[in-house]
Amino acid sequence: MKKVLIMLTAAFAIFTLDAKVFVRRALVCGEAENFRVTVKRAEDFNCRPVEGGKVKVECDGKTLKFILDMIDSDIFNEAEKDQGNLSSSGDSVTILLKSEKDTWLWEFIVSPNGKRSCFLHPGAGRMFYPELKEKPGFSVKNAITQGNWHCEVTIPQDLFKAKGLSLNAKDQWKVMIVRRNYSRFLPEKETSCYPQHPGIASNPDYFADLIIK
Amino acid sequence: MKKLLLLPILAAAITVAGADCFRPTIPVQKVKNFDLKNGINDPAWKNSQAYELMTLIYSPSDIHCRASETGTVKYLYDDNYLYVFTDYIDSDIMNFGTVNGEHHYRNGDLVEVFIKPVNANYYWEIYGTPNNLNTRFYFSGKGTVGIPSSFRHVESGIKVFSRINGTFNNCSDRDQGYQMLIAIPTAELNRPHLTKDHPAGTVPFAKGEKWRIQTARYNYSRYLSELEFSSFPQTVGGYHNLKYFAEIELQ
Repeated sequence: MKKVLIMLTAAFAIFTLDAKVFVRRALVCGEAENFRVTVKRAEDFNCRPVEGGKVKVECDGKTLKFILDMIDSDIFNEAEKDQGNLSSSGDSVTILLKSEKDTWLWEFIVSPNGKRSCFLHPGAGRMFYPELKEKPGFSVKNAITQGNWHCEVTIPQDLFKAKGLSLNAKDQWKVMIVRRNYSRFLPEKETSCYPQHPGIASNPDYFADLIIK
Repeated sequence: MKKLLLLPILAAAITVAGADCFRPTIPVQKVKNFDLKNGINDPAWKNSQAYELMTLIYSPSDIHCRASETGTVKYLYDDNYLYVFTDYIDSDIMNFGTVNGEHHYRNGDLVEVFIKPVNANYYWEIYGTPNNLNTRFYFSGKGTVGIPSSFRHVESGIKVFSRINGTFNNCSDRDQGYQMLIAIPTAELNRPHLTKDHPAGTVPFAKGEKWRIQTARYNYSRYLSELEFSSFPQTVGGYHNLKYFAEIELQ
């Protein structure tokens, strides 16, 4: 009788509990997505940044190439070395990548003056930025014109192999791209992202599904 | 030099005015020989894209969330009607309204359709209930929402057909959901408007013209801890947030 009562209570709780379910966005190989402003309040939902940008990813099975086109009225970064936290010294793009199969979180940061950083975090809840001696292991190619920063970030599969992962759909990759835009012409530093997320950018729960074709 | 000086002024203006947002674009197919009375079963719906309703955003944590009882919406049109087909999960289907023209959101579950031309201020708020009632409110602009004339229902030939999977107005059991077809006459969307209400005049509801739409719901249920609001597209704060409406492309 006690078991029946417990089951009925549990069933009632399941039937009456309601919760909103977060639905991941997707970044599909070959399809460009626009950056949205980062959310500070509800009214920021789906809003365009003042200086917009787009990201597209291509995958050939061996590398991931992120292609970014960004409007920028004041393009600069004062970093002089690779493997630092480039986003605190000027314009930067951060690409966060994680497989659903494990907690390892790769953080790639690039700047318009060609500097690169690659941090491998054991998980999103354990992110530190020590001084790194290793080389970044990926490449960046920039093209800067008046008011525009075009950037191609190429990430080889080898970086993930040490953790038993490959660039394929089976490993269920998730991605977050964050742009930090400093400009003397903006009233404040502008942070934009894809996908737009309601919390902290490095929380993998908000990453987009990376659809590798 | 002039361009460099203009850029910060433009940036500041955009910031002050409120940022523009991204809107989804919905291609709406034209259908032939649509049998209105049996419209819920029309085979044209099989090839029509379904759009998922997402929860109303009150705080950042609501972004990209779906409500616990979700649903989808599809659209078709022909020379006579714009067809809105909704398929909603609903554990307790109810509405105590009895006649057309009521504020049915106070009576129970309903589908709400908002539609407006891009280049004019006027728009419609149209209801369909699971017991096949409708309401048609028309606003000459968002600035007139709430005045008595804006909430004056006019019979406009709107048709509502519902199919309930469960029981109606009976909370002793648990329902599965309901499907609803709302047919909005194009004659209503094309009716002439007085110039003083909107200088743009009448914007035709026709291929090539720019219109926007939002479909939403009120979901009451004894099984929910509160009344649930959701819409496609997802919107912020309330259903009259016009900037989030989806763009329609009549095919």
